[in-house]
Amino acid sequence: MNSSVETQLAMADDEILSVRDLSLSFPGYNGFTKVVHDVSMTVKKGETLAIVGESGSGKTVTMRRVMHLLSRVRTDSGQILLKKRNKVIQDITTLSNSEAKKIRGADMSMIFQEPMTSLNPLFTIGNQLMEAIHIHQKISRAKAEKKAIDLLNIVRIPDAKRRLSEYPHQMSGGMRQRVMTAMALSSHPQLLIADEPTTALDVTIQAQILALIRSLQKEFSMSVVFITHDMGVVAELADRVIVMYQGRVVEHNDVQSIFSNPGHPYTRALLKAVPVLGSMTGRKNPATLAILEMEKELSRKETDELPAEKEIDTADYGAPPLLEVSHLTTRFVSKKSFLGKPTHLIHAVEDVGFKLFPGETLGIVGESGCGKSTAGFSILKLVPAKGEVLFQGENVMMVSDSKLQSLRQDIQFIFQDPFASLNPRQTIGASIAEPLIIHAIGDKGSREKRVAKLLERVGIPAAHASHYPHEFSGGQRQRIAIARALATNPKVIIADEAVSALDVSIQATVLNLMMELQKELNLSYMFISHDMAVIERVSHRVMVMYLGQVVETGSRRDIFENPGHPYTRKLLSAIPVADPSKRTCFNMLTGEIPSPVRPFGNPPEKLVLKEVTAGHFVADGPADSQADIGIG
Amino acid sequence: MIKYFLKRLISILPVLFVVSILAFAFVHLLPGDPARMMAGTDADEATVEMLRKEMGMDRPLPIQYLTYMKNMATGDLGKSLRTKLPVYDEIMLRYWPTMYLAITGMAWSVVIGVLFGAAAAVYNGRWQDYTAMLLSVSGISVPQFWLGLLAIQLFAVHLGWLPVAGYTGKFSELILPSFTLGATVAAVMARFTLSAFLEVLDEEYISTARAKGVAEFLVMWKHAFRNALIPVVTMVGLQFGFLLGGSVVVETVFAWPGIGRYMIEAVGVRDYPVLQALLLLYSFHFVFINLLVDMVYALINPEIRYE
Repeated sequence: MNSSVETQLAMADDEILSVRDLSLSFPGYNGFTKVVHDVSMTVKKGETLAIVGESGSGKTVTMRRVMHLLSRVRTDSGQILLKKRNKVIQDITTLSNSEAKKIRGADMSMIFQEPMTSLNPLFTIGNQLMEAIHIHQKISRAKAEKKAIDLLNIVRIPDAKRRLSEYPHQMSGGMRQRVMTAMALSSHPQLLIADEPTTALDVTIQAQILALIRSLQKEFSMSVVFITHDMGVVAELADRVIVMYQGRVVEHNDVQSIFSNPGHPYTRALLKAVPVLGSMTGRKNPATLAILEMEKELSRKETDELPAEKEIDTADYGAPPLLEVSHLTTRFVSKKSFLGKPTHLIHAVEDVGFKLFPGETLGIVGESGCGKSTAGFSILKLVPAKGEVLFQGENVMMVSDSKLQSLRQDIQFIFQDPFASLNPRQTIGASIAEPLIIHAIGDKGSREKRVAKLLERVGIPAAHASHYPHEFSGGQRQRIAIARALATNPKVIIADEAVSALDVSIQATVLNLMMELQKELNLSYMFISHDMAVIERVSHRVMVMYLGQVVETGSRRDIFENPGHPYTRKLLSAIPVADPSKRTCFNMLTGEIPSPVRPFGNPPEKLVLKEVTAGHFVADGPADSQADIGIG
Repeated sequence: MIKYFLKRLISILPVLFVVSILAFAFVHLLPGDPARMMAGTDADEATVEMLRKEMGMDRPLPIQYLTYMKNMATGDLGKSLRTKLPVYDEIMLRYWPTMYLAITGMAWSVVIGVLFGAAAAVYNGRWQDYTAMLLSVSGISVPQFWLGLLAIQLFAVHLGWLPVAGYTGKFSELILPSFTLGATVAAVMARFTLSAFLEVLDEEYISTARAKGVAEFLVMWKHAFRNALIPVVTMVGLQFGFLLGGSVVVETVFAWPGIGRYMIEAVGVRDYPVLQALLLLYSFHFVFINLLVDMVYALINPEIRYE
């Protein structure tokens, strides 16, 4: 080798990874498309580098290329230098597959986003862990097993020995992500790449995993590259931050500067778009976010005026409630005996009651399995439910099917997944017109006019009515779903995680749209979400659910400024705050969210709600809620 | 898992019941008077009446059904109208040749089909993929009778390696007909395995395995292959029914002394007791094979095993 090549491969002493001017292209129908443009970054020993960006920004592609995990992608230019454990510098771009596999899992490891699919369902946890150990270490089976148990202990999995013989489907998402982490650590890599490892987890479980990664990093003096779209997670974890947008690095700085003095318009827009917990403190009503769509935001000049925050003061508590729900109970059969008798029930919703007033947004918040979505479905009898649901004085639970059909005009749904909730074989115009046809409203001409008007209102050109869903982005599809929900002029909209699948900047504009529509049309929302910050932004009143029951309900200020129930406080403290100067001290407990499945004939104890101040109700107990959620 | 097996076992009882009703009703559903049809058009009224009494057809239908079920349970499937011999004996004479044919055909087509499909997935987009799928399309498109005749022409007549037709119990006689019978199934299995395999390769746990540093060979054959097999196993059960049906053509081409040909002959002369018995036999086989498939499915899928 001549000297010029050697100087090319030089790295600073404290660097582990150095990506230099990397450009990547994906093959498509019209040749190659460039997806990553001249990306450069370095990772130093023992530090955490966060890569932030929205979907399609190239952050995952870049790091998968670093791991040598992409077979179809073409590397157009650049180098990926990794300092191996024996101090030899290796350019990953020149490696063959068989050479790369010696580095993968040994010098660097990766954790993926979806804990539900990232472990092989056919092999036991022990088998998969020991496989990882055996690949890079020539040790006996017994030693490998001992090491596997040690690893599970390191990631704080209780009862590690027994867990080895379990299959992935027997574990919760949080536990699986711990197993993934254990596997990634099996050969003590110097570099851990974590690709959105907590995005699919509940906030309290996310807090546990973040705490785990933070402490392991110290313990093993590992470098971590953390890919995320969540500015809160960045603030909690990162030393330095890289912001990516459309395949390019647009900003690169230490974490303090990124938050206090963002340099690039995109970073500034991103920070503005994130609903920050506590930003509504002291304000009575929800308000829109002062942000434009990303393209407009990026072309906006410094001198241009910002859109003002609009206060949503539509809630009318003087009027009779639109919706009055009491003793709502939904139970599903979870297990049956041999003869088909139910032995276990899922107590999805247990004796829930609430009111929804005209023009009001009621935020319903809780973690997975708390029954918040089922509560929404139960109201329209989309699942078998008991109790009383009065809509404008009429009991939905008792009315005939034809009457129920007409009630459904007035109460509409928006679902989480904009990719699944629109029929891919139907034009969006037909999708929006469908509720009008079902309820026999208007003729063909008037329906077409209505569709055009609705599309314009949600910010999509009316001429696009003849297009199909795949031609739209996720945010646009959610706008179309909103237009469809509005078609029958409903009074109530149940929005079930309606913005959870969207990128933050798009989430912000969809939230703004929903709030503006509320003001225009005097809509009432049941806004179901796991995201406390979004709930704080949009709600007039909030209801916190836990294991099918309401643990606390009150005005937004009651819940966020004066939380009464320990579970509410835990939820609030588990949320990563997008401010690096206020890092939370997550503790290392391993509690799981308890299951709502109970043996037949053994319903949970009913929580009694006590009114602490006017309109603010807090449940007495459950006493164990402190013990089983791992945040102190 | 035992609970799962018992559940599956019990769940086939209603299916078998419906099948037995259909087989029983078969004779009654045909247009005209069954006794008249069995006696023949030129029989006089007295003969028909006698036959009706003899077969118990003057009694109410539920009684007839119970008698029919009782006879069936004791192996009495009635007598062939053509040969006057017990149907049970007639079928048993031809049962094993057909089963050998079906089982051999199934075995090789599953092995070859799954291997071709897996190879096409592993070498996706390369010549191995195109070759395997070209063969697969050919296998699906070529009619069995023609493939059988071509095979006889080449391997039996031209090369003289294998016997032309017939079955006397030698394995060499089994090769050409089972190959012909399995060709379509092999092709279907190959395509199905390919799509199942490709789907699995997109799963995150494949990335996990690669990220651990697992060698590519093991990623494919340990992590991907077993997962891809799960839907394929279900397919095997469905294809078995196709094989039984296919044996009618293949047995005719190869002069195979099996049930398929026997059935064609029985249809030709409207030998109702025989057809009734064959209807039962085919359905029972199909049901039991699918039960077996469900059990294999549970064995390879821990999510069901630990239910």
